[in-house]
Amino acid sequence: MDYDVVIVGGGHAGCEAASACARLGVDTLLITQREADLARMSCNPAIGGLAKGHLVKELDALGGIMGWVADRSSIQSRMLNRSKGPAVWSPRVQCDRELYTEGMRRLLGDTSGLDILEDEVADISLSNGAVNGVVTIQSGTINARKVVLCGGTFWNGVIYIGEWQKPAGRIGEDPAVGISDRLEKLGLRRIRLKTGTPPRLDGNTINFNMLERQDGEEEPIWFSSDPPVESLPQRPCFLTYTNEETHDILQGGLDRSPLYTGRIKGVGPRYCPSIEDKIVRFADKNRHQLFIEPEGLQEEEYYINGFATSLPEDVQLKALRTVPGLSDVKMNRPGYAVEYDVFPAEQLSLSLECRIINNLYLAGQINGTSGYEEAAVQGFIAGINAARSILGNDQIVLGRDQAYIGVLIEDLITKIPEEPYRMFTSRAEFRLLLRQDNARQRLLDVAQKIGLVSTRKQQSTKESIDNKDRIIKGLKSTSVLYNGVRMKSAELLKRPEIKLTDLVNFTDFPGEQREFIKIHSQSAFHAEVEIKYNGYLVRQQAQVESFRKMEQLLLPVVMDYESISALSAEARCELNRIRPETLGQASRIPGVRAADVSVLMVLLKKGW
Amino acid sequence: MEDVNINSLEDTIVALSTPRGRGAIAVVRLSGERSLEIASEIVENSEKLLEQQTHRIARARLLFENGQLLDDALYSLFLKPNSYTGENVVEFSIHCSPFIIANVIDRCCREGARPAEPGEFTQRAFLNGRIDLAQAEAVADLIASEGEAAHRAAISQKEGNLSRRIESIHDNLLETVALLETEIDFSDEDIPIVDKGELLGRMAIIREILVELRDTYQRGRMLREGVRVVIAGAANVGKSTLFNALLKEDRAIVHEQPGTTRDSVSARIEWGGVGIRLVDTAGLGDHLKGPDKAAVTKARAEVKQADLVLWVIDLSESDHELPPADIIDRMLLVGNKSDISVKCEIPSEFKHLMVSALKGTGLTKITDNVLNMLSLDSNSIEIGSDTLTRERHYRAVAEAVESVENAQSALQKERGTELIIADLWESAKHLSSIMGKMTADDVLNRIFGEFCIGK
Ligand SMILES: Cc1cc2nc3c(=O)[nH]c(=O)nc-3n(C[C@H](O)[C@H](O)[C@H](O)COP(=O)(O)OP(=O)(O)OC[C@H]3O[C@@H](n4cnc5c(N)ncnc54)[C@H](O)[C@@H]3O)c2cc1C
Ligand SMILES: Nc1nc2c(ncn2[C@@H]2O[C@H](COP(=O)(O)OP(=O)(O)OP(=O)(O)O)[C@@H](O)[C@H]2O)c(=O)[nH]1
Ligand SMILES: [Mg+2]
Repeated sequence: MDYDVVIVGGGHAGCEAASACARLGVDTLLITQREADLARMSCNPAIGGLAKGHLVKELDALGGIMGWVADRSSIQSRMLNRSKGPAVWSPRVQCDRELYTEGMRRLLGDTSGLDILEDEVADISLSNGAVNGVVTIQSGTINARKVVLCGGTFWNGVIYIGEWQKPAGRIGEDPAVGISDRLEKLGLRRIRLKTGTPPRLDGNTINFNMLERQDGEEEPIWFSSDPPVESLPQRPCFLTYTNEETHDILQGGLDRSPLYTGRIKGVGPRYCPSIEDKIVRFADKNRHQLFIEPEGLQEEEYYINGFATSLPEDVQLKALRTVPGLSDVKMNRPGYAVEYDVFPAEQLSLSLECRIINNLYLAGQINGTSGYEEAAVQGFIAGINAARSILGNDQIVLGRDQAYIGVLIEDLITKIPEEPYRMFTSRAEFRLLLRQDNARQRLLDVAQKIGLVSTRKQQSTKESIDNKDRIIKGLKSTSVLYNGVRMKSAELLKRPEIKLTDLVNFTDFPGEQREFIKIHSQSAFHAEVEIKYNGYLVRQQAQVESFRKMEQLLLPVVMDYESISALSAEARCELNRIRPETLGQASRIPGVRAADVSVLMVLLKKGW
Repeated sequence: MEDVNINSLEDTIVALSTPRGRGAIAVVRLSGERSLEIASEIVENSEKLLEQQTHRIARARLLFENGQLLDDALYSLFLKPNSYTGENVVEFSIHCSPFIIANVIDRCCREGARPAEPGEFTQRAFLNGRIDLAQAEAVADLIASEGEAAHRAAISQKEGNLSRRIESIHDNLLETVALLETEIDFSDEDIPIVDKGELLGRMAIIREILVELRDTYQRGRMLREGVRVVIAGAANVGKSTLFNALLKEDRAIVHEQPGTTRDSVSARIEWGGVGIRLVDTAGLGDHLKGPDKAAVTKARAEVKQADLVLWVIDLSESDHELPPADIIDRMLLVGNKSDISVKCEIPSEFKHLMVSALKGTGLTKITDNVLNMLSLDSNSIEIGSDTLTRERHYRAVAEAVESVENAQSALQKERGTELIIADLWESAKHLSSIMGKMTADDVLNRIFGEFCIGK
C-alpha cells in the first residue's frame, strides 16, 4: 500500500489533518485505533469557549472542518464575554457527543481521496533519516511520503483512579505503545504530562429542581460560514456548588490520591486543576462552582464541569452526593487522570515538521497542548503543510500578528512545556486586532493561498470588506444632529454610549446608508468596531509593524550558538535548543535577555 | 549600541581606564578571551599569572619586547564571568607616565589586543548581561559626571537603584493587568469581579509614583548636563566683573567702556556639588545698532536657554534696563556696585540681592539663592534612585504616565476591559524599555499564583 500522506490517530488533530490533505488532492490514509471513536471528545462535550472559540473561527476561515461539525451537533450555544469588548467575545457550543463523532465520521467518509483504516501504528519506517512509511499491527508496512502523527493522550497512556491504575488512552480504550519509544530512540526528547476528567452522571438521578438553570442564547451562534439551516433542539446547563462537607470528604481521600501520593509524575495544567487540587491550594474557599452539562440531546448523561478528579471511586461518589441536587446521584463513569507522552515542540519547526526526522509532522496533544481546538488547529496546519510539500508548495506559517493559531504554534515551540498548553486571549499580544468575528477577513489572503475555501466564499469575504469600507466612508462623510449639535456620524459613534444601531435610527441619518447598513449587518459591525476603537487599533497596528520588522530578520537554521561568546550561557543553551527562525522569535524565548537580542542583531547586521 | 562591529566582540581590547594625566597610578585594562595570554606575554613571571586565581592582585615586572624592564607594577586578575565586562580581565596598575602607558598599551596590541573604543568595556558588560541598559548608561554618566551630585546619581543608577525602582512600578502594573485578565480569560470561573474603585485606586497610585519620577527629570537633567546660569543685563553694569568674581579667575575682559563683551564666555564651576555652566553675555538694550546687533542676538539666545538668569543692574545709575517678561520666573535680580552710592530703587516685586562684584561682597548669597531657586540646595536635593537623568528614561516614563492616564479614563468611561489592559501593557512596555522585557507568561503566572482557577 502506498500513500502520499499517512495520518496516525483520528482525534481532533488527525481528523483535520486527514480532511485537509485529501481535499488538497493528495492520496491520504487515516489510521486510527477505533473508527467509532473518530474525533471523540475525551472530556467535556463542548467546542469553543474563551480563546478556543477564536481558534475554531480561524480554522473555519482557513477551510477546516471542526466548526462545521460542531454547528451540526450543537445543543446550546453562547457568546462568552459579551459584556466585554468585541475582541474578547468567544463563541462556545455545547455538543451532543455522539452526533459530533458521527458527523465527523460521515464528513470524512464522504471525502474523496481519503481512506480510513482501523489499526494501530506501532512503528515508523525510515530511510536516510527520513520517514517513508508506518508499520501497523495488522496490516504491516504502509508506505508514505509524509507521515503526520496525532497520538493524543494515547502514547503510553496510563489512567489513574485512586489506587487503581491501568494502561489506557482514555477510559476503556487501549493505549498506543511502541511508536513513542521508537521516536525517543531516534533522538526525540520526551516528557510526561497529565490531565484529568470529571465523572459522568446519570441524568435520571439528578434533582434539577435544586439547580440553577442556564440556557443558551436565543439566536444560535455558529462557528461555520456554512451553518445548518435549522438548529437542533436546545438543552440547558445547570449550576451548583460544592460545600465544606464535600471538601472534608475529598480531603479524607487524599491519602489514596495518585496525585498526592506521588504516583503520577506528569505535570497537569494549572488552569484546569482537579477538585482535590482546588481544595488543597485554595483551602480558604468554602465552595467551588460546578456546571452540570448535558452530554447529548437525550439528556441521559451529564458531565460535571469543575469536578475533575482521580480520587478513589468511593470518595468521588460520596463527595458528589453532598452537592445540592446530587444527593441521590449515580455515576456512569468515575473521573480519572491520564498520564501520557509528549514530545516538546521545540523539536519542530513552525510548519510543525520534525527537525530531527524528515517528512514527519507532529500535531495535537503529543506536542504539549490540551484541548480539542488546540489539537485541531495543529492538525490542520501539519496536514496542509504535509500536502503542500508533496505538491511542491512552500510551508504555511501563521504569524502572531495574523492569528491565534500563529500564537499557539510559536508559543509551543518557544516556551518550555511546563504544563499542557491551553489558549488564552492574553497570550495574543495583538488581540485587539485578532477578533473572532473578523477571522475570515483577516485570514482571507492565507485562505486563498491554501485553497480550501471555495471561491464563492472568498468572494463574499472580499465583498464584506468592501462593504465595511463603504460604510466607514459614509459615516465619516455624513453628519447628524445630536443634542442640538451637528456632528460627524463617525465622531459621534466613537462615544461609548452611542451604538450604530441607534445612530442609524436618527431621523436625519441618510436613508440610503441606513438601508445599506441594515442589509450588511456583519460589515456594519466591523465598521463600528473600527471606528469605536480606532485609537487602540491604530496603536496596535503600529506595534504590529515593529513586530514584523523583527520577524523579517531571519536567523540561520544551522548556527552554533555555543560559539558566540557574547551571548549569556542560558541564551546560548536555549537558542541551540529551540533554534528560532527569526530574531523576533528569539526575543520571546525565556532566558534570552535584551542584551542577547542586541548581540544577535549585531551579528545579523554583520551577516554572521 | 547597535553599531558595534561584530569582530570587535570577539577581539580582546585594551585601554587606559583611569583619566589621562591625573594621579600617580594609571590602570590599563585588558578584556576578552585572550587577555590572560596577552598579559602573560608582557610580564616577567608568566606562569604565575596563568595559574593565578580570580580576584587576586600580584606584583608584576612588565617587560619591553627585548626583555628590559618597562615598569614595576601590579596586576589584578578577574576571570569570566565574574568581571566587569563578563570576560577575562587583566588590569595593570602602572606608574602614571605617558611613556609607560603608551608602551604597555603598545605591547598589548602587538600581542594581539586592539585599542578599545570609547565605552566599549561598558558595552561588553551590557552585551554579556553583567548590567542592564539603565546601568550601562549610568556608567557612561559616571565617567562624564562633573559635579558631585551628578556623580552620586550616576553611582546610584549604576548600582541598579533606578532599575529596581522601575521594576517595582512595573510589577504593580503587571499585578493590575493580571487582575483584569482574569476577568477576560477566566470569566466563566467563579472569581469575584474586581471592584472598580479598587482598580481606580491602584491606577491612581501608580500614576502618582510615575509622575513623581517623571518630574525628577528636570532636576536630573540639570545635574547631568550642568545648570546653565546666564549673567545678563545692560551694558557696563559689571556682568563680566561678576562672572570673574564668581569664577575666582580673570576669564572675561573687564573695561569701563560699555560694549566690552561681545561673544558670550562660559566656564564650568561647581556650587554645592552641582555642576554649573556659567555664561557671561554682551550687554542688552534696544538702543544698540550696527555690529553689536549680532552680539545682542547671541546674548538673547543665551538668556532663552538659561535655567536661571542673573539679571544685573548698576545700583549707581538711576536708570536701569528691566528684565524681559519671559524670564521673570527664572531670574535673580542682582544689584551690582553696592560699594558706591545707591542711586536707584530695586523694583520690590523681583527676588533680588545686592552685591559688589568688584569687592566680592554678597557673592555666596548668589550661590545659595541660585541653588535654592532650582531646588538643588542641600535641603531639597536627595538624588539617587528617584532621579531621572536621561532624556530616554524621561520619555519612557512620560509615556508610561500617559498610558496609565488613558487606562484611567477608559475605566472611568467603562470601556472594555481589554482596552484598559492594552493601555496598562503599553505603560509597562515603556517602563521595561528602560531595562528589559516582559511577556504574557508573566501575567498568566501571576493569575495562577493568586486565583483558584479551573472548573
Ligand atoms: C482524561 C482526559 C481528560 C482531558 N481533560 C481535558 C481538559 O480538561 N481540558 C481540555 O481542554 N482537554 C482535555 N483533554 C484533552 C482533549 O481530549 C485532547 O486535548 C484532545 O482530544 C487532543 O486531540 P488529539 O487529536 O491530539 O488526540 P486525541 O483526541 O487524544 O486522539 C488521538 C487519537 O489517535 C488514536 N491513536 C493514537 N495513537 C495511535 C496509533 N499509534 N495508531 C493508531 N491510532 C492512534 C487514538 O486512538 C485516538 O483516537 C482530556 C483528555 C483526556 C483523555
Ligand atoms: N565700583 C564698582 N565698579 C564696578 C563693579 N563691578 C564692575 N565695576 C566696573 O564697571 C565697569 C564695567 O565693568 P564690566 O564688568 O566690564 O561690565 P559689563 O557689564 O561686563 O560691561 P559690558 O561687557 O560692556 O556690557 C568696569 O570699569 C568695572 O571695573 C562694582 O561692584 N563696583
Ligand atoms: Mg562684559
